[in-house]
Amino acid sequence: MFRFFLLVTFAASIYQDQIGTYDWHKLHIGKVIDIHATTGGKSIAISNRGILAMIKPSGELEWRRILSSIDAYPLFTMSASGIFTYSSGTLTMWTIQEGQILWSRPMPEVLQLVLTTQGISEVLAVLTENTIEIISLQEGELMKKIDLGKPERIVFKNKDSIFVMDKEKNVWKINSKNWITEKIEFGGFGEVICAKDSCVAINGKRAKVINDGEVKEINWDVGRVQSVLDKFYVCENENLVEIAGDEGKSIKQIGKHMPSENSQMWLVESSSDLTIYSLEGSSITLPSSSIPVLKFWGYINSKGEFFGYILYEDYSILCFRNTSIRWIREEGLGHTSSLYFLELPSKEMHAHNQYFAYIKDHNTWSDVLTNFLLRIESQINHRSIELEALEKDSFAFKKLIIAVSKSEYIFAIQSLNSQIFWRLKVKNLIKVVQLSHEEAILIENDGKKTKLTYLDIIEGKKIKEQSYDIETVDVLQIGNEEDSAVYLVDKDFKLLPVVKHSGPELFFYVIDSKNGLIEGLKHNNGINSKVWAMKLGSGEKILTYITNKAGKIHQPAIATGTSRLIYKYADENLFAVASQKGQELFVYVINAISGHIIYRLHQDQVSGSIHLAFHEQKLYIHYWNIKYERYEIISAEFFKSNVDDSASDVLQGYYSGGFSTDYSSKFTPEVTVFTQTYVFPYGVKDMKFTTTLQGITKPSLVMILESNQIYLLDSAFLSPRRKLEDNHDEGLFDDPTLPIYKPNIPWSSVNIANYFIELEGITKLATTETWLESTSVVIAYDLDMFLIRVMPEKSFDVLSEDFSKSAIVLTIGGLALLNILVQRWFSSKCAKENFNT
Amino acid sequence: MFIYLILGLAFSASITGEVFGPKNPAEKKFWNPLSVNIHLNGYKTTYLDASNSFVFHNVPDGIYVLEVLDHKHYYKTIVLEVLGENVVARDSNIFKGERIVYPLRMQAEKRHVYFEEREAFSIMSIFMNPMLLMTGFMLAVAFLMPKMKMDPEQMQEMKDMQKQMNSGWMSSLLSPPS
Repeated sequence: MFRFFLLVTFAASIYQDQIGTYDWHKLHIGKVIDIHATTGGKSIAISNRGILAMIKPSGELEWRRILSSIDAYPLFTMSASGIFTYSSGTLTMWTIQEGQILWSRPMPEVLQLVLTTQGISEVLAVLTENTIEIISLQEGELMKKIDLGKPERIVFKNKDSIFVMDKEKNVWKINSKNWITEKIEFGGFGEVICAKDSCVAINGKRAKVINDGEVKEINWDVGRVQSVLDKFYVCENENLVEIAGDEGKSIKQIGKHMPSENSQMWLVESSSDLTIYSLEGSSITLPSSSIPVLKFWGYINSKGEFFGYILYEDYSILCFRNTSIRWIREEGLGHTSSLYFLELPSKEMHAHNQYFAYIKDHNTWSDVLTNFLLRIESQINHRSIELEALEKDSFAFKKLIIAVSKSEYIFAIQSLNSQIFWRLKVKNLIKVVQLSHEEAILIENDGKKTKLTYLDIIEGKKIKEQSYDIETVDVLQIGNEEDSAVYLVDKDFKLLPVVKHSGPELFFYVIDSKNGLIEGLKHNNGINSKVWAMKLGSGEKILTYITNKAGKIHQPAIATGTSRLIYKYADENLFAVASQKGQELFVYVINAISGHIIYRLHQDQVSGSIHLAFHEQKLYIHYWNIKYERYEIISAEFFKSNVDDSASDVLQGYYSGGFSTDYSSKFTPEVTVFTQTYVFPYGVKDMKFTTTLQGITKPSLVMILESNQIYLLDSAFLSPRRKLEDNHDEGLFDDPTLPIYKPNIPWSSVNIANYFIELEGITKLATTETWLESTSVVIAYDLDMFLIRVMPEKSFDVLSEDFSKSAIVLTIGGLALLNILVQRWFSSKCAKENFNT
Repeated sequence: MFIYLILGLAFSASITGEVFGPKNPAEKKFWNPLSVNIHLNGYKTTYLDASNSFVFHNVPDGIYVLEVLDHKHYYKTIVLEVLGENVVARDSNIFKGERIVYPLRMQAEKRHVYFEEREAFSIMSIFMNPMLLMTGFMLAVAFLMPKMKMDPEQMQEMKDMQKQMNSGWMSSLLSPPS
């Protein structure tokens, strides 16, 4: 039991005063689809990821709410009474200040929410597929349900009526006092475009309009409507047109612009600045960003001050007040689809690379002396090119994180301070591959051609581009830093080398989930040949797979309690595939080179998502058990069947040439597999092992729970070799250092890596090593981002922060003083006599 | 799709419940219902209203795991079986255990402890230092041994042994240089 508590305590715990020392986090809401200013300089924003939030004047989140579920596209409207949202079949009213639910009700498919008035009371008009429902704001009760044909949208409202357009472009006028509907024939005249309080259908020089509830035909000499600016139409030549009397009247020419979503303002972009104009003629200028603007919301307050929000193409959102920027939120990171850790150069390495980059373009005879002097200078006086922020630190904690966003931008984030250093627009990115400490390749595929962009990762600038006429479906990256290879894989699985492999042959496997087929291929001199193939049973569907990223195996053998040596079967050519047929789960562990199935697992009564984690000889499978109504983890460990009972066996094996801890995929040894099932109380979204450079530190299993907590679990709890309580005979592979088997994994809040930080929408993990053997870096991402340094066995290779230096100085000083005093005492005659008599 | 929607709604229930803060009045005053989230199978989320109640609408038939998340307090996880409009709730830790009261009444059980406690400074930690202990023991022996009153015969034996050692070939190695 004591061993239990020790393991539970030491897995992950930090002290309270270490909060923020080893971790950082970024909270996001995603791409903003609507935003409103409220009192106190705060803003209410809603995103396409189904997040509602209040943003403080500083740009931080005051509160944040998930509307039903992440990525459920929401509908939204608000007034001083509150916020109204619709998502996944639920209509909800929220308070503005706290984001508290006032009421919620189920609704069928809702198309639009509009606030209107009935007399002096405000009511909510909800447009569904064939009705409009009037909901009271106090209790959320249905006041009136009005059947319509096939409504398309509520086009405008005034104090007495709501106007709804149907799919045939007819307009229905609904009186908000008595809810009587009146059909206004409008369709069939031409394309109908609506502004804030009017709709117009144009046919040549004539137009039919609904304006203030009345339909009439007017002259239309102002050309085709290109867009709408609040209550105005923007027609050809960017003329602003108002419906007045019997004609469309041109008011102003506004030029190429972006209209405000909510007011009579527009924005004009130039290469150097952004100018925002109001209809009254005033304007302000803001500094331009190199990133195009997607949307803009503008206001003018009672003091005549401009304020508003600008949404950029990379999903970042900026809040301005007159010409000053109040805050910027990088919401592009709220859509992170994949993430890469890149190593940074040291200062010396950077000076070295800069020198060689310089002499590449300066290599004539006249440059010889200059180059020679530069070379000496680069070795003595390292060029400081303000690299410090992107310069490797002593323990390689500082890395460059490349976050790939669905906004089609990549962001370079420094891993220590979470600062964004640069961003780059990249379309259809497949992978990022680091070539050297200052260079990476971005591989993009547009469906027909593949583009390789060589990138300086420090500056974020393109060095060169290469294009290939192939459709790349995947990228193979193999080897280590000294000997790495990169191949592009096309849809026929042909390999095109970008950086060639030094070995003669290359083995790879292909998983065809659609047809339930797994194939192993060999690539030699540009030709692929099939080595093995495996077809799953009919009805079996491939769910997921994982490769055994064993890395460096520091300890290929394990000493058991009875002085035996057992050998891990940790071949890094193994991969595991999970498939499902009905409620049956199958997991195959396959050698990628020979195609041998090392192990096949079958579990019945399984549903939900399956998650795998594979490291060295350990394979873990997380699933939902239908019969027992709980989450379980199956733990499997693979060992070579031979066991050495003593040191003499080991020596005998060594000298007879039979001893080896290497693995050959051509000759699969006899494998002993141990499995055990554990009950885990929570569902997971992803799980991975931590890895270290030398593989000495015991790995920790990192899991993202469905509650968005990051849990660190000591793998000893999941070992299948935990002895059963009633089993007194010790088996060959038993390990008495492991706790006695108990089916339930103990739970401790101490192992929650994100402690009290409320994360949302995290679904993926990435891990990397540092130069400290005790420490790994783990990042969880998707909507939010959370990075933490994990030390599964505490930081045994550095002094801890609370190491008492004063105590050790005192102790050593005290001992030295004692030593001197005792020496003097012993040298006195009296002591000698006492000893010798 | 319309037909499936109608059928789905016909066979779906609402899951309702109420959440209570810690029983201890001293902790209860720091309980913030606005920071409580309720997750259903990890994919649906809702929050507490002004009466500390929650509801999930339109939940189709199936088995669900409901978690109440409060960063300060721990709540039990519940397994819910939804069939038509009926909802049966059970403790997730007990297989097919007794039913739990429904609509749910979720009570905070204990506080989360996220951090290790730092050991406070203690003077005994200095004195328990092994190096200090060894030195202290050696000094004690050095002072006390001469004061021990030994049996004269044993004393004579010790002196004889010492003489033998001094006269042996190793004495030149053991004896200090003059």
